[in-house]
Amino acid sequence: MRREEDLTADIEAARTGDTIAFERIVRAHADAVYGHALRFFGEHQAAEDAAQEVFLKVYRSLSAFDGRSSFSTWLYAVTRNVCLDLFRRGKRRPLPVDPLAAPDPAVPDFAEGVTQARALEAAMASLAPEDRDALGAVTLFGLSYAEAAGVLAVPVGTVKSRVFRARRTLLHLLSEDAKGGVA
Amino acid sequence: MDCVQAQQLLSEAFDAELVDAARLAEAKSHCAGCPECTGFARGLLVLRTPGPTAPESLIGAVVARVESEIAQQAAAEAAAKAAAATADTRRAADGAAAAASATAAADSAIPRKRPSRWQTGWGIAAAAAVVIGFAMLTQYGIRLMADPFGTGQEAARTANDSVTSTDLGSAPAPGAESQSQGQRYAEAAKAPAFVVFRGQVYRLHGSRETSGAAVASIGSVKTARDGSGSPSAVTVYSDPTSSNGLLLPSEGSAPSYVAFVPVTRTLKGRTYVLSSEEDIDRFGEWPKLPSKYPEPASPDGSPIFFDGGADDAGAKIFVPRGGEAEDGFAIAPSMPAADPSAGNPNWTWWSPYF
Repeated sequence: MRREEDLTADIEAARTGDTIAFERIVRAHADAVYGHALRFFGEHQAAEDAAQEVFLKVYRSLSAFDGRSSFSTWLYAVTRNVCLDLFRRGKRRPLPVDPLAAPDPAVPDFAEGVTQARALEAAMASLAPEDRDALGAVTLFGLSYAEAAGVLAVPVGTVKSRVFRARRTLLHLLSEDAKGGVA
Repeated sequence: MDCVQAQQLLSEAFDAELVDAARLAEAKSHCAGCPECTGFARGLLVLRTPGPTAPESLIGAVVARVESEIAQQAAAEAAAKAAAATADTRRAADGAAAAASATAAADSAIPRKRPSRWQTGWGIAAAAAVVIGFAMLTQYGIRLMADPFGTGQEAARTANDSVTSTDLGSAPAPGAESQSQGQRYAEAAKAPAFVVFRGQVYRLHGSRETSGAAVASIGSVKTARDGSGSPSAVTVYSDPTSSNGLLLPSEGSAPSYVAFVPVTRTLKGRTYVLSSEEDIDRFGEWPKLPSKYPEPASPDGSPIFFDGGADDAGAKIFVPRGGEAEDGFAIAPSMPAADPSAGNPNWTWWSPYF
């Protein structure tokens, strides 16, 4: 994780048109933005298109970022809004919730970590959107519960509950996968 | 403590949220004797698996699009400057021609003897001096001579000027029926008391008496307030009564403050804030467009902006070439009294408010 001072310096530089500084910002946050979009749309091309739109908006709005919230909080809000806008404009469809979604144990992989990551992402499709949102805000973007509550416009207690519920659901699905089937 | 309570506490602690130490200890103690909760705690480590990795192509594509946008804006600026330079040249030529014909008309009204060659030469030189003299008048003076009552075409040409309230003192008397420069000046009221904080414009909203303990310093603005001196940094504080307001210390004694609120409008339900790249040095001055957007040469926003529809209050918005309204938009000068930018003689820029 880059130091906050480095990020602040890069933001100031990017505001003046320094594309190298902006590229550093993009690299530091691309995984979080892409991850959120991928979980929202469930498809790589749609996620990549949405992530591009997010970073373009970030670039165009850098002068409006006043630093009152953390950059990650602001970026999460932009990411969430872009995905919702693309859905509302009919340009992309979000991943439908699949309560029976289960990790595919037949996918051949040679690294347990890769298998686990794929299983986890597949299980994400089973989460209620609001639970997935809250979990992503905390685990992908590193927001505190209070910051996530501010962006999602819900009480902090609601964020706590959604994150907890998301984890319980994911662990249940992953344990079912380990047993070799969906209950 | 039951399993749900214990697991929820572990989940919060896992996210580095503040939890009661005694309750957390109780949860851990519960886990020691509960296989399900132990499994949940271990599962939290599994869930720590890194999320999706963005493809390298994404980063390259973003940078390419940003660089393309920068190049397009530079081209638009160059085109606008070229259009402005052409307009200036035309105005100077018009003014010189008007001066020359005025001189010729004056000469023809006076009966005189047939001039000698010597007198003709000096006459031509004198006429040339008059032409040069008039051509050296200020741009404003030439505009007045060329079009004293202000036509729509004239208003379009002069829309290139960056007008501040200090120019209002030299403005002509309001002219005729059309939306002329003179009419714009007449409608341009003294600006509200503005300050700029982190690129966003705030207007004076009233005074606030509050305990110093209730406010927190969040930065500073640069302003001379309503004084004539140089602007200086003034500490700003969060307003405990407002989620988005600012407080500046009163020029009298604390704990009095003056409150400022962001100047906003909405588009499709989303809030946009009046933005300014530069500090507004003192109350009564207006913000301008960001430097990357030259003042349009025409009231319809061209060549910089095109019609972007209207905001939620029906005010016409203008969008940069290649841009989208939701990323920010411009508002034309001379907005009516009910508009948040009423009376502004400049184009203004409005950014998404987060």
